[in-house]
Amino acid sequence: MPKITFIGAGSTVFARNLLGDILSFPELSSASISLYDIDSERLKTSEAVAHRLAAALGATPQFEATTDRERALDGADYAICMIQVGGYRPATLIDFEIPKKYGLRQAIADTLGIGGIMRALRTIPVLLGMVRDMERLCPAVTFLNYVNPMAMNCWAINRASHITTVGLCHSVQGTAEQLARDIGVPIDEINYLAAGINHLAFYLKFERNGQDLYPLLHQVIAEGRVPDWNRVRYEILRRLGYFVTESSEHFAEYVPYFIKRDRPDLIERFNIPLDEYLRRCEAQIKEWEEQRGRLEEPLEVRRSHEYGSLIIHSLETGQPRVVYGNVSNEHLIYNLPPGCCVEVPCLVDKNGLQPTRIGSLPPQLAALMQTNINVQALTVEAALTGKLEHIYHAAMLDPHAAAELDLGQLWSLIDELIAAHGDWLPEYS
Amino acid sequence: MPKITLIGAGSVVFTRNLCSDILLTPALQESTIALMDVDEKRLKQALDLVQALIAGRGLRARVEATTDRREAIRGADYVVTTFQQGGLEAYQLDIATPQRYGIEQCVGDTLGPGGVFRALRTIPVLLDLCRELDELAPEALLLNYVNPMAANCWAVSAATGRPLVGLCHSVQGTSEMLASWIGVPYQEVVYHCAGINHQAFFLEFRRGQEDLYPLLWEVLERDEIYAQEPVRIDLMKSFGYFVTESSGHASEYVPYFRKSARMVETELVPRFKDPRNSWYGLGRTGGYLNHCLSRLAAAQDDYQELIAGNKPLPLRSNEYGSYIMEAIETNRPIRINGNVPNRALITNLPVECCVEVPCLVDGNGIQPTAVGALPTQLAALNRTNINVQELIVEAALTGKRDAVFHAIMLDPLTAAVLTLPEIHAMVTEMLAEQAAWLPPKLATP
Repeated sequence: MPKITFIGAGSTVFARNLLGDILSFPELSSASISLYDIDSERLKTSEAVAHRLAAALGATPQFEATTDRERALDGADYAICMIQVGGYRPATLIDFEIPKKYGLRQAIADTLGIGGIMRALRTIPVLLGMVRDMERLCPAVTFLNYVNPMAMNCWAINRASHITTVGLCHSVQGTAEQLARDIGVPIDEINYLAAGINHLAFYLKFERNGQDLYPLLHQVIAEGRVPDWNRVRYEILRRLGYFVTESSEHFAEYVPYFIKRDRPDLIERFNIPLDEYLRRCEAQIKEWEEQRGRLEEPLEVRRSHEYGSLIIHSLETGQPRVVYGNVSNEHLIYNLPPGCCVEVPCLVDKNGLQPTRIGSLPPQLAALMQTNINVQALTVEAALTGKLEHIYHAAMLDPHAAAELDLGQLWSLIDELIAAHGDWLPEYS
Repeated sequence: MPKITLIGAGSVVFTRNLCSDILLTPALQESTIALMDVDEKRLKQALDLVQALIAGRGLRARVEATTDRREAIRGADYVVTTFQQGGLEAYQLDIATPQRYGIEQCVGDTLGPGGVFRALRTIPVLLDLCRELDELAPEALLLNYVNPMAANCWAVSAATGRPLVGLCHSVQGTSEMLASWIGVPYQEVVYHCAGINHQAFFLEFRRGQEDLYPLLWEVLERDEIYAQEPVRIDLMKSFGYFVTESSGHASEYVPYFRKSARMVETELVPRFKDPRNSWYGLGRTGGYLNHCLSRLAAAQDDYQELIAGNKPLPLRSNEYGSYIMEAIETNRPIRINGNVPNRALITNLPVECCVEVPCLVDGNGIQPTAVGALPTQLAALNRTNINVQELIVEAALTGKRDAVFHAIMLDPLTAAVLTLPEIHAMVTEMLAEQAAWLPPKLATP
């Protein structure tokens, strides 16, 4: 039975979903599960939830809960990472509040933009520390990374280590489900092909029985049925011809067209929830508190749509599946730079995670992705070399920040953020 | 002796300079020079000037002039393109219409809405020319001087596979300027420069093994230096390297400097204090267009001056054209910075895009050298421009009208200033008003 390590297991809600998925498979129900977190209090809550979950499923896993990372990783076959470095307070708040002083507003700030850059700079050193441990303690491990900013984190790991890593997100399957509802076609009847970079992949195919469903998506616009919370992505469908995988509030900050200092009308017209991520963090903190108070109540287990358990199951049993993984661009998408982190369909079976080759994307999609990859490349460069100048460069190439600010403002914004984050960041020179 | 054809020879000043270079080159002095233009009057003036050069120097070169392009290229060994499709009339639209939407272009011939439309007008003419070359001069080397360089060359390579090199004088010109700033004799300077046209960077600037960048960093702080190139100096301070095209151009390829008319007038223009930059209006919107319009008025006087011999003949200029032909004819190697398809030359730029890299030229032709990876921030900046170029090529080669919109949606300056519906309206208007110069598939919805 495999050993599966949860890194950042104190993310109780997320860990519960993944663990429920895993233990629901008979072949995995007596796996060895190691829960690791630096916060022993949160870890305790997760451990209690895990035991109740196993009981509810009638599963008999071997549990271990530890704040010792080396112990958790020792001999692991799978490591699943769900950490957040710096937390909501102080780190995330800083990422929102300081840019705001410069007139730079954000909605999610976990992928690209000033917030995404800073989050990567906090996270990458921790991830690299982890993979160094893995190289010693479990060199054959499969590392499933759920931590954002996905592309930057995975790119950095791939550049720095040979540990088998795949970045996972639920935006591809999640958006497909939303679109299925919008056009009234059961999701089980839909076949799609998506590719690109994480949070900015596009559905190259969206069809039922070989019949193109894009006309039905365009009909949603024509008939005025665009959901209020999804106006940005339908606008992009109109302008670029393809539907993107990550939500409207995310997408609005990856491009320069929607959030503009002197254009409050756009925020209203496209219904962009500025500061949304802050509200989500507050809600999650509340949910965790509630969960902690209900440790005795019975637990309902439903399978999630996360890929994590499916990958482990396919690798263990050989049952072939297709998942969307974030992997190094080794001749997968021709018109994106070699080595960058791309999100493509991957075959998973006993041979491992096997990315499929996409070829060239439509040029307008590749072009848009290049603007995001620019920021990723420079952030990764900064994180791996410790050179401060590349942090400035990353901000200078960010499509949203560069549209709003001049060079002097961008530099002093970065200076101020680095000072505010203090010890959460390594030294840059 | 080779036959050298100039397409767009009515650009009389350029024609005279290039022909003077050719005629100063021993290996080319008995060439046949064929001048072609659609404007008979200007063609005749160009012919007069070249004939005067030949007579004045007592050479045996032959020169002919024709408005028939097929005649001009028949049997040519070198074909040099310098035409401007749509002329100043189209150029005015390139500047004025975007300006009404808030896009403040200074030169507008490389990127931005102006660059996109200039390319869309030009590429069909270049492709036509290449088809005729396949028939009438299949071995001819195409030397393209027409902007937007990168998009034009990329389209020709992608559509025809014909040997070509795109040429510009920004690398040489900038290197001379930098040498003069730091007081190092130009002959002693060695540089390594690569990127894309108008946005290549001096990766190395040396005298022997001595890195001259520290000297450059020092002089940048001097007021009279900064006043010459405020934008390029700001970019060097931020990106770490000096870029090859002037501050007027450089300011419009990025989103930082021209966010509004007010910003241009109150923050950008006042930083230009050197009258040598008046050719692009000290960074003002439409600066270079206005310069062209005023020069148009003076063109007749120019011609009279030149033909009367009142302006001294220039020494051999720093344009690459004559040096390339000489190196190929004599098999004496030279190095130029040429625009060629990116076939494993710059590893962190897209395959097949048009890159400007050092090329060896000798009897074997144009041989690009592999640069490897650019510093990440420079490649990233180049890629923002390459996005637009790739979509221009897509539009020009497939006739997909959507790709024109996509190109301008990806333009860094336009995207920083306008919303998607505004871009849509602007491009729709530009496609309509420039329909006469565009392929019908692009012009009509």
